[in-house]
Amino acid sequence: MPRMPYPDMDSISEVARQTLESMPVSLNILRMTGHLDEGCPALLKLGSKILTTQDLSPVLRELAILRVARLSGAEYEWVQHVAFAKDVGVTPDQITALDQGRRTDNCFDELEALVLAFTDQVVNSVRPSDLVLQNLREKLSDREVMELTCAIGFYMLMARIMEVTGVEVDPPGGIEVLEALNEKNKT
Amino acid sequence: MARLPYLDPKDAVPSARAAYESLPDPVNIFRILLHMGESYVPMLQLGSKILTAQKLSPILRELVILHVAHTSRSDYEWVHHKAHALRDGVTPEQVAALESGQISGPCFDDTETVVLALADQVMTDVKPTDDMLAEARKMTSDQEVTEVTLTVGFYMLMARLMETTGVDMDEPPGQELIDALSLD
Repeated sequence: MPRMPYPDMDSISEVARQTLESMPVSLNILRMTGHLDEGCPALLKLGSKILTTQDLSPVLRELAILRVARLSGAEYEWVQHVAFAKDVGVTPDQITALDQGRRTDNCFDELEALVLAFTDQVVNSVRPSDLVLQNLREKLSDREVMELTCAIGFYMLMARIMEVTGVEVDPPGGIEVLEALNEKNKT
Repeated sequence: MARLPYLDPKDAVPSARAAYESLPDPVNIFRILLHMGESYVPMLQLGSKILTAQKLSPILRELVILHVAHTSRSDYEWVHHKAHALRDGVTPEQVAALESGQISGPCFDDTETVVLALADQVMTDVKPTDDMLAEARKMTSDQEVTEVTLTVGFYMLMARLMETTGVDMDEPPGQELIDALSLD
């Protein structure tokens, strides 16, 4: 049982219902966002753009998201994104390290370790240090830095929706979700 | 000086450039966010829905945003939303309380106190306690509880974009710019 009931599909707003019916997959978290009325399509569109249109590499994105999921204690986010992460090339060793709360480990290369350090600072301190930001800007474009910050903040937001509502973990969608979102973006 | 350079709109992706150029007197944050590529348009639209289309009352929404801004130590978010909050009916006493870190007291009514307590737990602990959630759900609808959560998370995200980029402070925008964010 979730902590809050899923919205009744017959009584949510037309815009939210149409959005959910047009999604390529049916996941509990999507269903729960039906409570948000006009915020539902806007939230899901931003999530879809983050997952499918960033210059930032999918491996770096998923490493950051998994770190956010663990720092936030959001099991739903962790389970869904372990599937995405594996499908885009995050290694089993890296997933194990993050699962155990380790972000400096020889399974992470220099850039990956830097992205994880930046993630910790953005989550915990809001404003990353001049040094970490400067080091990151030597390796990534300003667009990628901004996209990384956006991904971190967006998954902090999603973790909160998941944990407040207590949405139940369902089988992860993995690469099929990403492919379906890509297809949907083209139309 | 910002920590990241502002992007010239002509160097942004076409969807972001078109959206930016449609805004009346856009403030600095909307310029520095141009770096975001294809996420720029949905980011503005999500902000617009939060600010103009929620069931949650404007006063409760702005109280929540000010508490997030203060706790996140984001001056830009605080200054801009202080103006917005006062315009929407938050009282100067409430602004002063939030500025000193207080989320309860005689200037807040029962609903405001519960919503601020919920927002505080969601921000700090991610998952509010069962008692907190039950109290909030007694006071307000599930839609509004979810909207409080969305508002907290979105302004935590915005505070992080503001502080990472170090966007330069400028004059808070008027309602005309807020209304244009829907990009309709």
